[in-house]
Amino acid sequence: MTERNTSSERLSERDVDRLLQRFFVREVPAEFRQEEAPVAIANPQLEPLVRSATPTPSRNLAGLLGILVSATCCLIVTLFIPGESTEKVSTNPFPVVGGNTRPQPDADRSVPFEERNHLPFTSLGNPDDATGSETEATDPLGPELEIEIFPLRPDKPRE
Amino acid sequence: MTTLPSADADSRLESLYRDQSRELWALFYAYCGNAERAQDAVHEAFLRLQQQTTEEIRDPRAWLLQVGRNWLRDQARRKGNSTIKTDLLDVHPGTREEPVSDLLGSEQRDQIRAALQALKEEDREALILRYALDWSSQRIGETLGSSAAAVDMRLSRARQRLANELEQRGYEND
Repeated sequence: MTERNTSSERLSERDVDRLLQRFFVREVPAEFRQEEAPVAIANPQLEPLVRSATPTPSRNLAGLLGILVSATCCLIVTLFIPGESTEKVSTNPFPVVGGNTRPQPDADRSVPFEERNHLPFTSLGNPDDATGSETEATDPLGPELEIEIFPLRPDKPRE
Repeated sequence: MTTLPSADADSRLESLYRDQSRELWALFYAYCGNAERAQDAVHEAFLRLQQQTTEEIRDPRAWLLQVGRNWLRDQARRKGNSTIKTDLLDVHPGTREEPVSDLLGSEQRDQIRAALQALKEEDREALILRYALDWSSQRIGETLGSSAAAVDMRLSRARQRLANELEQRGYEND
């Protein structure tokens, strides 16, 4: 039985706290220390378990980095590739004037320019049919006026 | 319930090892007072779990704890009850892991081990879970089945008792 030590200072709770921290730094095997690299163990059968159980912060960081790089590349590609919506080349030879969005007839290159009508058309029917009634407009925006410039027909009297 | 012979038995065993091995080591160390023997007990318990083919294990943790303690008891019977281990061949002084100023001498370490073994098992478990695994009082309480406040009180009393035990063994405070 060891004699009671009365010469040295009595151990306080704080002393014991510090002592135990120092003690367990070496007492805990490397395999079970937190955030420690895996070490070889005596039993090779358990080695896969030990290696996989060890936390690998570098692996997690690499995965996160990969995701960030991929997202950045996608963003760059999206910004620099010319999209269909950014620039639309209109094939309509009759650009809309004054906000009129009705479809325009295709340009008839055989008709002199001054006879081409840039206004929307509404068919009035063939006056030779003598129906006396306008063709009902089906366009919800309003009737399309089709103004045809007829040369005077010398063989038919004017009405 | 865990049935071992299945396609993903290895992955479940791996997960279990990752989750439980540190705590099991701490509890085995509290039981036997020998760090290496406690480590062997962890390995032995998981090896037996890996080889288990017939029994369905409802609580793997409890099963591992029991198997490990039984193995330690058998080892103690064969080799005697000596729990003091000299660590003269361990890490050399002044390594990166532990500066010279933090080293405890082998005699001091033996005294601390002996003093720890003189405590009640519940006091020892609380101290080891706190200082070896750096667990919070709440987590210790969940493992030992008590509240965080009760764990704090137990730790305080355990430190005082350990101080008395060390003084009785002639420990000289640096």
